[in-house]
Amino acid sequence: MLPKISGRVAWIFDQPNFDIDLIVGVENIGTQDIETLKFVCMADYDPDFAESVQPGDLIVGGENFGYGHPHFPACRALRALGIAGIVAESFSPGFYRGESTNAFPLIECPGILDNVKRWDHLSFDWDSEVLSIKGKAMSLQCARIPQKTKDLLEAGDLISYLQRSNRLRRPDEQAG
Amino acid sequence: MGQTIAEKILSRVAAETVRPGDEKLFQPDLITAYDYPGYVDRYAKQMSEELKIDRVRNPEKFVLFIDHLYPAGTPKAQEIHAITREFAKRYGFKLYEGHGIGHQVISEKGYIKPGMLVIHFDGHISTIGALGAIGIGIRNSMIEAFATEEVALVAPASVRIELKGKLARGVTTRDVFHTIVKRIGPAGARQCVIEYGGPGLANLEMDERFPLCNLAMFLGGITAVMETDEKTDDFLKSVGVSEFTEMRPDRDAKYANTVTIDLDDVEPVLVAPPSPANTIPISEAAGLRIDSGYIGSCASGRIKDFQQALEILDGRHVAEGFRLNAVPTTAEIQARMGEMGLTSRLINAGALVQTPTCDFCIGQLGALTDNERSVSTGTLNIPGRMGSKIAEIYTASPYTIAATAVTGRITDPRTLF
Ligand code: SF4
Repeated sequence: MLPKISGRVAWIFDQPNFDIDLIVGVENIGTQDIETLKFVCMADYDPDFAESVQPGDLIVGGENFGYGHPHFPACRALRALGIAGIVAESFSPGFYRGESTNAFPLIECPGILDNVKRWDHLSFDWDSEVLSIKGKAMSLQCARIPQKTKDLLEAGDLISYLQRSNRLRRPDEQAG
Repeated sequence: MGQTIAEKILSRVAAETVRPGDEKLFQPDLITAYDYPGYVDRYAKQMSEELKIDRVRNPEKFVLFIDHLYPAGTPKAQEIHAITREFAKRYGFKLYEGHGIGHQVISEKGYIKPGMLVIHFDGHISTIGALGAIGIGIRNSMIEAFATEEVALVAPASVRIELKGKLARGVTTRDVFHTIVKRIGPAGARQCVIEYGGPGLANLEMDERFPLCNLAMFLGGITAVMETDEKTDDFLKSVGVSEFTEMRPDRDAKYANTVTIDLDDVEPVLVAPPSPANTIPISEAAGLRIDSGYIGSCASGRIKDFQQALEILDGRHVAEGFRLNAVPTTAEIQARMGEMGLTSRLINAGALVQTPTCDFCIGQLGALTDNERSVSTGTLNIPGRMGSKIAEIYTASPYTIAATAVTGRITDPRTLF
């Protein structure tokens, strides 16, 4: 089953070309300890962030979100705090590739910035790829999500996805 | 229907015609990675413990590098390297340690041929585009590549950058790239392959071509590729690659966008903090006090970069209190600099000539403290990249860095010729 996307907007990065390393601070991009990452996550934006989010909350981003060198600790930290996905105007390709491989839902939704404010409640329908905003009559059509990304999200992580696939042939099982 | 270079390469790899938008599994010609906490150490664990794969079909397709946190400054960093050494040994992968930055070493060692598809987790593998190959950074899907030797890709469209004319003295391809960012925006080639060609390409040496491809991600590009010509051939022959096909697009290839850049019109620019999206004319920051400079990285740090810096530095000296780190991209470049006498000229001018490593680009060495300002040919200028979060990084060309080093203030290099 695809993960349920229904949650509040915990933060809006409205600037284009946002570098996600800034979420944990560039000094922490080599940090693997999840408690440290949770502690530093969003500290430069909202020191109360960790207390104010709840599981299922979402992040909203602007154009070309994830521009720069997108390292993994930022989204690991967000996920550890309960963030269930990111909805952005558009994503930078390296970021999209990396985080969708980590089975983190990324939804490209042109027009999102003009239509939401912090703490609005969003829900996403995986079949129609439409995003709705609680209390608003309108909804937003999002970009098509590649099948591979959906398969990964269903599997939950790349390792499970590979294990489910029939592509893990042993060398000696190979013809030629 | 005509094909772009990327379409030709992906079609060759897939053994069928591939069009932009097609989602397919590709078998890359080479799979490469460098070690950094959370990358190769993680793949090593996933391969053996989670996927229980004890050998791969084609170990010769894999090349690993130790170039970050190098030489190790802590036992922890040494442990990361030890895991990589063990991983390479176990699966029979070639490992280069201490040869310099992998994105360049891979070309120097003769691995890259025009028309190849190369996979890395890091997008700066686009550097090899200068040899008519495509290098794509796939982030964490690397484990898919390690385990299956295949990767799923959505075939990208291409943006054509048509170069004409010739650069004026004091202007480099770093300036060209960031002028393109200014012109079409940092998402101007989003999800696309940037294809460089046109008559102006012939006027650029190989050392000037690598940076144009290296920086592709800052235009939103998946990678970049160049037409090949005599200069490419000479480079390839010099590294022992003799059999290859030239890469050129078909005349009627279709592009998402075509942009013409007249090299004669390009002027020195700076990329101001806090992001590589931020190109400004040098005049806007001229005179700003600067504490340190860095010439190096996978983008810059080749012979030509140091020759350009020396056009300014010869007969002058780095300003009192200014730290100028000159870091050759690879050991081979470092050796050639010595033979050519560049190293001693840099030292005489007051530069600190270092051994090849990524560590200056990531603030592991030569770090900045609070409120300092630096000029750099590294790839990235976000806060904290080279140390303190409240230090500022301006990326610039080697000419501009050299000019700034001698005055201690941001200086247009053309004023010092
Ligand atoms: S030089 Fe900088 S950008 Fe290039 S690979 Fe090393 S750390 Fe990354």
